[in-house]
Amino acid sequence: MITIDGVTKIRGRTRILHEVSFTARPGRVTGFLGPNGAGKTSTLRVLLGLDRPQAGTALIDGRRYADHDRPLTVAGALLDGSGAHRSRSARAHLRWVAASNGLPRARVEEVLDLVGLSADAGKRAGRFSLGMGRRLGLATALLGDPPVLILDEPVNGLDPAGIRWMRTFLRDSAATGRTVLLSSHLMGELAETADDVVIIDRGRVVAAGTLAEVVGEHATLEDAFLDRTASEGVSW
Amino acid sequence: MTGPRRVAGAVHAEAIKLITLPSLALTVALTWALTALLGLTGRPGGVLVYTQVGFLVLGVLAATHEYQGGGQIRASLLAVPRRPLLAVAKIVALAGIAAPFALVAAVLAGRPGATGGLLLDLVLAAGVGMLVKHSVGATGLVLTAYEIVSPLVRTHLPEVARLPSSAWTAAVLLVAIAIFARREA
Repeated sequence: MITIDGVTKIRGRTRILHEVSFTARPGRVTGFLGPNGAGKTSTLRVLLGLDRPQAGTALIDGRRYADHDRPLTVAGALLDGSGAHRSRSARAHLRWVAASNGLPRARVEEVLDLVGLSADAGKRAGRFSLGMGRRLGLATALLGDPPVLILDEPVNGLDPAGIRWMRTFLRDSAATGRTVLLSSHLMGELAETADDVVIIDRGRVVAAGTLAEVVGEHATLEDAFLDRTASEGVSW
Repeated sequence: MTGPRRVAGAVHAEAIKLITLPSLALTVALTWALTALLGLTGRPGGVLVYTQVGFLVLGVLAATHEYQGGGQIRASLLAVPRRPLLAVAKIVALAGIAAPFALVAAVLAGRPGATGGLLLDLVLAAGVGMLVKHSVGATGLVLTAYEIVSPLVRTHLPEVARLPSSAWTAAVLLVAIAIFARREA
């Protein structure tokens, strides 16, 4: 369960998040949708304790991410990039991450297998393709077998087979009771994957609810999205 | 996980990072080779000053590799979100792993008693690396301080130069940890 309540973030003189509030519930995929620069990544960074908000709270199972004793067993995160140093092997990267939270070494081989990287585990991360880097990032997120997954644009850089794999994986994760929160600017992708949708625009949540509620009278999620985010008009 | 286990996990993770990074092993090997070669030439005044440069570079790289391509610093902060703990774990792991390598280097330089001094230089450089984040900038800063500023201070302000090097190291580390703990990554 993710509970974000009144989060405001100011960077320099710009208010990039304005009292952002929403929840993501167990057993459901929550899509966090917004144009580029709307505040999706900023919200996820606050949720994960990478940035500090000026006001509000962002909690995972009732506590801030950083206040959990073994955070990797509470929430797994996939952010931009693999998170591995380019000259370290995928296996060595996962080994240090596992050690940091007292996870068994055998778990490293399990997650490598899970994301299909076992054969490339000895390769340096710098030699990975974009898609392999995403898989390594996902393997890192899954090390602690966390009940909560937080993913920033997870299908970026994936080929069609990779996108289908990710979609199935996220659906299955929710079906087994996990809380899945993923950000995206790809409406079609989210409409296929999400149970609930939160739309953010210029730092404010402009819509939140089940997919059906957010789509409402509109023909598609895309129409609903454009109707709610373009009212004051970025024109193309 | 209780407190001691959390600390042990953080230090263990940092140790694995250090021993699986090729550039650090290369820096140690080059420092040893240079020290041994220069030792053969019998330079007056000894070769320790060159060994010291190697350990300064080693300390900088150990800290700044977090910020090189791939975004590892975010993985580190997600794994160990308590930043003072993460910073201290880095220093403890670095000093612990480097100790035998520093001893060998000091012996090669003909000055086994200098081992502790090399380790202080190493962790001071790591503190600067943590502050500056960029390898080249941090290396330049540390070498300027050691090779230009420090001799000037010794000549013109001998009372300042009498401060033990452990005091300098402690001061740099305290500032580095304090800033690392507050910074957004």
